[in-house]
Amino acid sequence: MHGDDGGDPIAELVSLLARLPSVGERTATRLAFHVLGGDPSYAQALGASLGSIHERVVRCERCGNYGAERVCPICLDPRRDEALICVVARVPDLVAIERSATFRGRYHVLHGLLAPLDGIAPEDLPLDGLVERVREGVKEVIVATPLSVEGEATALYIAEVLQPLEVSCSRIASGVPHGGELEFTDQVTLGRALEGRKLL
Amino acid sequence: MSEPSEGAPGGPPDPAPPRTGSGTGATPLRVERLATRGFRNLGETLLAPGPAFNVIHGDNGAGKSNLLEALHYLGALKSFRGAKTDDLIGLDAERALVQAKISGEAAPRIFRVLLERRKARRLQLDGKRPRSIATWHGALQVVLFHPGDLTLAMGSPEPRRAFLDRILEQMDATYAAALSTYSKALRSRNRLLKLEQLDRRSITAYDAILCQAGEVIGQTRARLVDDIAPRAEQAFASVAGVELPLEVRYEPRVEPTQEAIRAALAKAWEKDRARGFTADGPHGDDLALRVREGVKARHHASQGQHRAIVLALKVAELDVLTARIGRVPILLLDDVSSELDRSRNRRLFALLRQLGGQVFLTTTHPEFILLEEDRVDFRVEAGSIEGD
Repeated sequence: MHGDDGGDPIAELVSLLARLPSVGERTATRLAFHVLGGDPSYAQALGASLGSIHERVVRCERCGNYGAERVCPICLDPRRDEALICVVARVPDLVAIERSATFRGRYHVLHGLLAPLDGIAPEDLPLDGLVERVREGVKEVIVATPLSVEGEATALYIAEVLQPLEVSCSRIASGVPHGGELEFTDQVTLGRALEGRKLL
Repeated sequence: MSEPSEGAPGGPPDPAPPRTGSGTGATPLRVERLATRGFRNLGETLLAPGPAFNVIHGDNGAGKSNLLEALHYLGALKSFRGAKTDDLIGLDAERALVQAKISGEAAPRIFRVLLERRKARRLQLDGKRPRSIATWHGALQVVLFHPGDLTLAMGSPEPRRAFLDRILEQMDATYAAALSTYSKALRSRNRLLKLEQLDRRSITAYDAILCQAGEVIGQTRARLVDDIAPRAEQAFASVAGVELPLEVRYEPRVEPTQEAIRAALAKAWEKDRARGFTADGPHGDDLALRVREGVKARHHASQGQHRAIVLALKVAELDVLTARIGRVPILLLDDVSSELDRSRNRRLFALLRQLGGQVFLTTTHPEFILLEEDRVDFRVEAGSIEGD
């Protein structure tokens, strides 16, 4: 079932590659011929790596982060504050926060956002797991979902769900980037930065 | 989540204090040269319009409106007939080019749009890609009247909200963002309301977004109508002569504050749930137009009156833009005078002359355009244009 490739292995590879994000038909064709023209051992290694990725990498059963074991290294790290959780939409967001090296708590990865227009409802997100973790002693939840309609709605929904529990729930701030010139900051960001101003 | 702190700036900054655009010495935007190639049925066109009135005449189907559409596209970056890129490119052409040299700032600027089949549109401002669409809209403003605009005075509130939204979206990025947030949140909420099993908390999440964005939308629209109403009323009196006065008012469905919208959403909960959509909010606002005490224009006005009302709104739009940006936008009138009688026709042109901008208008009968001076005529025949 690979569309109209008609059993041609090159066409099949191209059509599979072209389903990846930011890969178009042309790039897919270039990549396919590159692999075909190169060392067969590379193609085998690539295929084996792709083929086993779902077995070798699993979602952490506590936070949803990717890892080799049932529980990820961040959840196992004893130096991490277990009373503090940062909720993110996707694993790349977690990676970005880790790179900032300013957060010493743990995470909860939603692997999605509420999106009624795409049929994504609360029960499709691992929110029961979040509530359970909060009941087990989390004192603070920081919601770091994106500043889109879906991200905001998800953040507000989480706040509603956690409201009856004894936990402080906050939303990350938005504003002007570090080293950013106000002059070149878009008006919407600038407006939000003014609204979210802090006393000196 | 959190309430905005006390004294937080509520929404976008206030616009410049209203002043009348006409007679303030605002520089008019002026097309000095216009070139098109492969746009609709227009052949290779090179035009040197006059500074005031440019009368484009020709038979039906000759391409008059195509020329106006090209000019409008340059400003609005979309077709006022709702045409897709492929329809704008001539049948036997691969690409369409519209380019204009426009003065109004310190030095004339070159605006260039290239449309190609199966490719993204390419924009150039002074030979460079503009930093953003906002840069483009900030540099060139056009105001259009076309026969389809008559729904403004006759139909449902939707085109009147769109009239306000289109003006604000171009001038105010905060408004544009609030509008797109609101519309997505509203569609999401309506989708949830139609579900059989519903978690009330997921609706509440959208309520908060609707309240915040709705406040920005409602208050910004109200300020715009404060500016537009007196100008439109005055313009209507000038064009229509001594008749019933026009009354222009912003009529929000709900008072545009977060508290009022939140209360309205909560109050309508049972009704919304039963009907499967959100009843109250800025998406139900209207720009009410009345020509007689208490009676809306769409129920009680003649064809000629409708036309005069819409023209008055467009004149007001031009005047407000002039006051806010300090330049007079280019005015495009498609088939404007066909249903105005001679005296209204004459008064309209006198009013437009006062506003001081460059005007392009199309007509099948140039003799109906009652202008003796400041006019340049162009004749369109089978897609080619000649000065008279």
